[in-house]
Amino acid sequence: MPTATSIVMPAPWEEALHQFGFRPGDAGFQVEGFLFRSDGEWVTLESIAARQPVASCDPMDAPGLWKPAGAGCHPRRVFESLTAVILAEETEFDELEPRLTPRSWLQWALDTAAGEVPAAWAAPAPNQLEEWVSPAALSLQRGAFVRQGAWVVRPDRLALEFPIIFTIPNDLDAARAAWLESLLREANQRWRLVRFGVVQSSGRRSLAARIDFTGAPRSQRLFSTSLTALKYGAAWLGESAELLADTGQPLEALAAPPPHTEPRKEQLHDPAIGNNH
Amino acid sequence: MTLQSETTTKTLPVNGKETIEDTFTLTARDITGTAVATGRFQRNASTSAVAKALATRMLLPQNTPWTLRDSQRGQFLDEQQPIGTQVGEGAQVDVVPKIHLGGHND
Repeated sequence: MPTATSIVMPAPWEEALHQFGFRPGDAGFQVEGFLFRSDGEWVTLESIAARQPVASCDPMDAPGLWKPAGAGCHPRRVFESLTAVILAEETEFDELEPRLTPRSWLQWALDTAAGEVPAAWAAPAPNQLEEWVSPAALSLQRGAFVRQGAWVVRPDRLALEFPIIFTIPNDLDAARAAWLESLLREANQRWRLVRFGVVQSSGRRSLAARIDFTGAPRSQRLFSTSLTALKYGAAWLGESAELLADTGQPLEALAAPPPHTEPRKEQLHDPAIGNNH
Repeated sequence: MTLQSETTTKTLPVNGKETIEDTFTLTARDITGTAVATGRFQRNASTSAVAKALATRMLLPQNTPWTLRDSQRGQFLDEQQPIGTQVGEGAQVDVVPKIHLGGHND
């Protein structure tokens, strides 16, 4: 795999990075608290500020594409996109209708890095969302697993979500819970863009897969590509998670927790491990 | 994250009348009555997707297109409509092969 420093960034990226104060370094382009790199196929902005323990924040509810990557108690936080969804050229209309360009992508990532929603941002109208992604495209069926995804829309939030487990049973025993947590960790490490985690509503806990677009410039290409990633991830996790959460199906294999779920040391530092494209 | 204790995460409201957590249970049988499956589905799920998923769960052949019929009313479910608009909680459906009964031109 090429390293960040072996890649010559296209001119629009170089210009945008310089505009935000990034300077080339050994590992990529850096500005205070952030590291930008690209392998040619993906662009990644990593928050290299002091890492917070997982328990101090809720990654499912964070605005924008920020998600923990890697494992352990202090995971890296990354904001990633396929370079193919980012347009190289800006136009004179971008002031009126911002599109996803290197500059607006960096602006979006930096604006949401601290968990804040950009003040000038507004969620698109529901009919606009339906034009970009039809309800039929939100249907997912893989084997016995079937789910209907949905847009999550409110003034300060825009996300696509697929439920994985409708209700996590209250009587889920410790061993099954440990297996499910282990599977969730693997899903979060394996699938870029997608966050998998627990959400709570009306006193009920459920498991969901989500990609958050809060603060994003309008980009049908971003939304449709992300939907594909979300469906792949949800399908990968779905049937296994359902089995683990189905307390009505006794399985001897699940009577004991997974033997060892802590990642090996080298996995914590290799960003290439555990990511499917 | 732990699955055995409460979290502070909030589920965001979903635009539209039904939420994606709005689910119901249905029981399906094949036409011989030997294969039975019960599942929980979203009310807004695609009827054709539910038919495929049930057929898979019942280990029915995957090279056959399947459709759903309301067991009590005998009506085929409209694949263009979400399943929850056609049957409700506790419904029983038959998973039947989708066949064409119309004539042909040769």
